[in-house]
Amino acid sequence: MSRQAALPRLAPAHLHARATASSLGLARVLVFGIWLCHLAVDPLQRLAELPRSAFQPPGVLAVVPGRVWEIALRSSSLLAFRFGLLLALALVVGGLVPSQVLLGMTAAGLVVYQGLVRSFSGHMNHAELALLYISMLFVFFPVFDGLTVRPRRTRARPGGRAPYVAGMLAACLVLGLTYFFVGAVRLWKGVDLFGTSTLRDLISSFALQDGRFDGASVVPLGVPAAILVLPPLTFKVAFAASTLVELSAPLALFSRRLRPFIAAGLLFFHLSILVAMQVPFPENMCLLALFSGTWFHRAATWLDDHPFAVRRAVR
Amino acid sequence: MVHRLQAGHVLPQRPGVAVLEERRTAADQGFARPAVREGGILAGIGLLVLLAAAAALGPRWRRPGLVGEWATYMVLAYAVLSWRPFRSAVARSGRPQRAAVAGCLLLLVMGQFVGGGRHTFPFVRFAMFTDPGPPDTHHYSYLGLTRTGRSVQVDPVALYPSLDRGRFVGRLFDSAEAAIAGGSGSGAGEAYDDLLLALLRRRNLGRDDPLVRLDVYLVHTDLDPPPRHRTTVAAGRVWSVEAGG
Repeated sequence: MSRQAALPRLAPAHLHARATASSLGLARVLVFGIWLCHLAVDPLQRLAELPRSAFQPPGVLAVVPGRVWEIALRSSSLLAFRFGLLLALALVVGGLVPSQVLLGMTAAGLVVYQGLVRSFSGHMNHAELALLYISMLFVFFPVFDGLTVRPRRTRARPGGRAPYVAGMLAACLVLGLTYFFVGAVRLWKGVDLFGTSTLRDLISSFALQDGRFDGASVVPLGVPAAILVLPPLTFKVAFAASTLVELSAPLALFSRRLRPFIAAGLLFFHLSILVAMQVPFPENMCLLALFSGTWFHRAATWLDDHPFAVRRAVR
Repeated sequence: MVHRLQAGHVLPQRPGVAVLEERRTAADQGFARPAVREGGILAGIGLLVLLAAAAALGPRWRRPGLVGEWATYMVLAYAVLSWRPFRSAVARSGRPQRAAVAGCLLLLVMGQFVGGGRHTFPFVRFAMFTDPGPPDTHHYSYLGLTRTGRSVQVDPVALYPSLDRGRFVGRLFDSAEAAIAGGSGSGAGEAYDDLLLALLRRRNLGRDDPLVRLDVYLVHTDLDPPPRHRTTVAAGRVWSVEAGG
């Protein structure tokens, strides 16, 4: 057997050690594809119906003058913004316009989009934020070097595959950190938190809020109410276990052996939240695919070999 | 010969290049103590973050959990810096990539420390379910009265899917509390009226039997034992809006 034929059988040295232009291209398709699906089904323009008094732009959006918001919060403006962003996302996903400027504008548009929906929020929830951070990070990486519909003439990167490996690892690190932060805060709030009925109370509360109310009584939501049959100790153990999984998320980068367990644990964690509390995290569940290094690169290579993919020569 | 080093890129290449890449990657495995200079930079940045948090949070920063959190993040940052694959890949990338990674991680940590509210969006504090809740709960429920006299439950989140439950329910809760505290003639009360009327109008779109009134109920429930079946609750109507005005 030749040396080159034996190469693919070698165990990868670390997560994304074999990342290529196609791998980062697939990550681009995944990240911006999630946004595309998310925005396609989001009737954003309805926000124009809500009173201006309920609108409090957060963080960076607070610097935008009020007059601009008066125009931006019209139904027609929101609809135009939505379709403009959808078009930009489609171009980025397909790599039809492989431009970092377009990518930057798209990421800025996503920050505005997420700021808009949070402007009508009582609290800052975390759904989509990991996805947003990775989208912003990708603006600075050569994500259009692989898996693009339109060819892009490019020189060979001076660092070889390093920018692709770095891009993939940075995305995984950011994703892992968002879990780690939650676990760390909970841990430093005091471990006695895990001895309380916090998780069971949360599930009860969600079951009631989403239940059927007739003015005098509530019928709690079926599945969460059924879960409440479990003994109280189960919830305490589940709360501690989920915190442990969150804290271990960055280890998925370092340890090849622990990675499948951590990724599966996080997936199970999201599924449990969905079932017990009816709180979906579809973006994060899809992003967990970034932790599947070898499979991810195989999929990227397969897609790159697909008849629709474009072959490009490096000058 | 032609060897495909990067899928999508066809490069004329010598046979040993891929083997060298593999060997270099293998050498990049594991952890190695960062140089003193790198460790110093990390410690400096860490200190800067702590000082920024102290300045932003005021007296609140003295809670022991915050310093513990800071120490935890420093340990993780040191581990990431010591992890050869990441360090090596980032170091061999271009300057924009290095700056982006450093900036993103710094902003994430800053958001985690001085965030917690809305002011640092998009870099906010990640802290879900970190406080024990009370043994009872109170929330607001919305019942509409249709033209034919039917009573229907209104789910605000279903009317505005852009604002998922975590977002919209929280805003409605805050608005209700402010309106009740201020009374019906107050600014908060009028703002709440506008918000409820928006819900009512959206609910009525394309309906044969539209709502003529929307009532807000404050619902108290004891969570011990957790309610599993139909439960009688302490509920009272606290606010109403009518379609006409």
